[in-house]
Amino acid sequence: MLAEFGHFALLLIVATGLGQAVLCSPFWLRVPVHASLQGNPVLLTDAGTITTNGSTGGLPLNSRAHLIMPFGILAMAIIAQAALLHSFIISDFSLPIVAEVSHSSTPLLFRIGAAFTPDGGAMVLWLLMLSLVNVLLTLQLFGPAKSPYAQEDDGTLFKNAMSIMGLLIAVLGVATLIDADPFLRIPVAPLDGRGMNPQSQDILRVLREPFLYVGLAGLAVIHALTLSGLIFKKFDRRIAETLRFWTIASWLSLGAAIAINAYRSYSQQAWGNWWYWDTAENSLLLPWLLTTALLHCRAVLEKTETLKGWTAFLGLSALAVGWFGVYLTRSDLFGSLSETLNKPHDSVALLIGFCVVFAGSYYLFWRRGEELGEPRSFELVSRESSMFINSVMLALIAAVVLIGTIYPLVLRWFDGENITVGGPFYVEVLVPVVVPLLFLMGFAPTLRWRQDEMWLIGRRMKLAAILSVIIILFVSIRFIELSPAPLIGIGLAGWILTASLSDLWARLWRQPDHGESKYRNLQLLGPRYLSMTLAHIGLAIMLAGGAASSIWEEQVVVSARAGQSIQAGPYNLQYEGVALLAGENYATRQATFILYRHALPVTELFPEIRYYPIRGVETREAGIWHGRDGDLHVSVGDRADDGGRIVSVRFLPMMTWVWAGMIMMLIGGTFSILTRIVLRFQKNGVSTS
Amino acid sequence: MTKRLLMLVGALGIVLPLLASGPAMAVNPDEMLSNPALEKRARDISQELRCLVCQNQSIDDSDAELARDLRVLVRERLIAGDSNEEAIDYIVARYGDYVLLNPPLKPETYILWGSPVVLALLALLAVFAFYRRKQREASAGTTASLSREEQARLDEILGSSKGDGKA
Repeated sequence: MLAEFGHFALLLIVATGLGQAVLCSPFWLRVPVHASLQGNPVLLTDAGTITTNGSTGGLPLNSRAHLIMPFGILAMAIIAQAALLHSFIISDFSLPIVAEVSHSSTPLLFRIGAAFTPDGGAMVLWLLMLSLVNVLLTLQLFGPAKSPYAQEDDGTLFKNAMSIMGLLIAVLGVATLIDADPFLRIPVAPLDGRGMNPQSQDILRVLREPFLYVGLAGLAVIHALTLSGLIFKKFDRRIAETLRFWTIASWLSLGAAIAINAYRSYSQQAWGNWWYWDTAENSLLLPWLLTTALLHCRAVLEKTETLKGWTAFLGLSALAVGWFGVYLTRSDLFGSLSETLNKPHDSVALLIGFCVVFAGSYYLFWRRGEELGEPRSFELVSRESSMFINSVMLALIAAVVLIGTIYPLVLRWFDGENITVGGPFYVEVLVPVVVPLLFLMGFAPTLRWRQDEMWLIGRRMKLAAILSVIIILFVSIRFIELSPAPLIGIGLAGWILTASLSDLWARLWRQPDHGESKYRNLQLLGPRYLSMTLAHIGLAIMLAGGAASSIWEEQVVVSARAGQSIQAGPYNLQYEGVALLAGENYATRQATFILYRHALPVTELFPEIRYYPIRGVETREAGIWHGRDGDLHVSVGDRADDGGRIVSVRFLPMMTWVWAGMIMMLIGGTFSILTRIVLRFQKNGVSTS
Repeated sequence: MTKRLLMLVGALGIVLPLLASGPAMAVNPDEMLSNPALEKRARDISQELRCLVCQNQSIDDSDAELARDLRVLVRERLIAGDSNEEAIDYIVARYGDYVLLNPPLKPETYILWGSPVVLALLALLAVFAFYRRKQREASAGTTASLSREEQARLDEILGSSKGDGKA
């Protein structure tokens, strides 16, 4: 019965979303759209009525509607999500969605997790996150700690953004109902479900979904604010300031989803690879790349009010690729690694919604992009330039990844010919773009705004340049047989690291002006600079780890017998044998290894082969040790012909750096957001007291 | 509890026969060649070939049975004296270009390989045009934004400050 409440709540989300779209909009219903399109300013008068070009017209604006609607939508979304989760928890197999991906033997945690894996469940989660950010946006714009601009004439602009949010929620709600309605019932329920996809039965895999959809929901807010700015031809510092929280939050959660995904692949695969360039991974990477570009351009917009058109384009495109990625992973045009067992659905409504929303958005961009007006300018050698050029390169990378992802599909459609676009293609094509991108990234933060001089940059970067050349020389002499690609990787990592640190050093030891306190330099750094530096250093560390582990990895595959010891790098693994154990809904062959480092025992590792009887699928869990000099990755296979156990041991030097680098980037983003929130409430507290 | 026990027994009943059957893991010792140079070449080739039933995984990474067959096939060709290219060609002749992770350059893939180059050139052009326009706007902007009176006033201020400097 609860499922029907959920179904009704889903319908109400669509209705309330449309209500928000209409009631928050200053156009539809109240003023002629043409008046605004002809460039006449639309203003909210004191009497609460809309005027265009001086003449009052339209209905009085119900100024409370935009405050109530989002909370209504959120309540509905919570009800829908709760109803769906309840159906999964009680294993209500009269809902086909439950029967398809769950089973009575699935543990509770994964029955909840399974609710997010099918198309309909993922859409409900996306709607929930959208309604959540919708409320947060309302609070940000009109709440107690409200943006100071909301009361000015920009109030109309921000209300229009809320209206677009309502529209997006309604469109996605309709797509949910048409494509994959999760609350449909069948008259005769099967006795039991088909079981969760064993590949997805993992705590990390379950955690990835909320992060992904919070990120995509944040991109929707960015889209709404950008579009609203385009409509009112006002894409300035105020919008940039409002966008700040959303760009960082989206960047952070998409990054977290990517990191989780990478670690999951790593711990699941026999060979410890963590990126395969498959459709699901690329559709995570695409919005993250564009959000990274947007993050930087937004900062330029806020600081100097330049790059308006390009920032607006990125703001629209980030959601576009995110949405398209969601479509790609669930259409039957492609399967994805983790969902090959699920019956794919064709999400036509999602695609049509995408086409309509973005045809409109880009049309508006095409009409208005030129008219935003930039009061100021900057020189070729300047901070603005470095961020602009780097964001163009990031967008270029995203475009190449997008083409590589959809090209096989298009070719098969036209030609019936099958080709594969895999890792080697991306590496060959992207390296020429990534190298200058990383090089520029090293010294971009040291550049001055507006205008800088080449010789000044040279002087500032002297130390970092010398240090990174020394690193490259050292590595190339020490390891003489090294191929150039990893060497370039390590060199660039050294360059970014030394450049960031030397800049930090220079700022800390700046000669304080007369009368300044000793801690003035520390205060001047500020949370923005610190989080940026942290993220940049994190990227450098990750790059160094990735390059080093690919060069120096050691890999042993043997047929082992109990008691046998296997050498890999500084580690020694002693194989103890395999035990048959029962998991909650699987049987597992768990191997036991004792890990020694220089003859001293470090830990025990338990790689497994799990067998899930419901789906008849085997999965593999590697045993991983994160040591200070690298990862030890061990996985077991079946019996070899000689009666031993196939054991694959990999020592990946500095692999720990990859994970540490990812975590540093995430900490950088989190720090930036937290300080922002704290500062905002502090400021608010001061102003009210 | 009894249900779980039953399930376990059932699961083991399926697993136990599997234990005796063939391996299903990426490169295992049974397949490996005793000649390390040849084995190294086989590994290199395997990383370029796609496992046909997986998503963008190379046969070197894949646990699938079909990937194992391909790995064995590659090794057989190398033992037969094929060069790396000949071994790859042998596989492609049987499975099509689909097995190559790096798509070959042919009329169907001209757009794929060409588009990054074209996009990069377009991006370069766009950035170039952007700076050209900025420059033009900047030079036009300074003359157009000041009216004649404003210009006169500016000259007056500049002139007076220069005078001050001299004095």
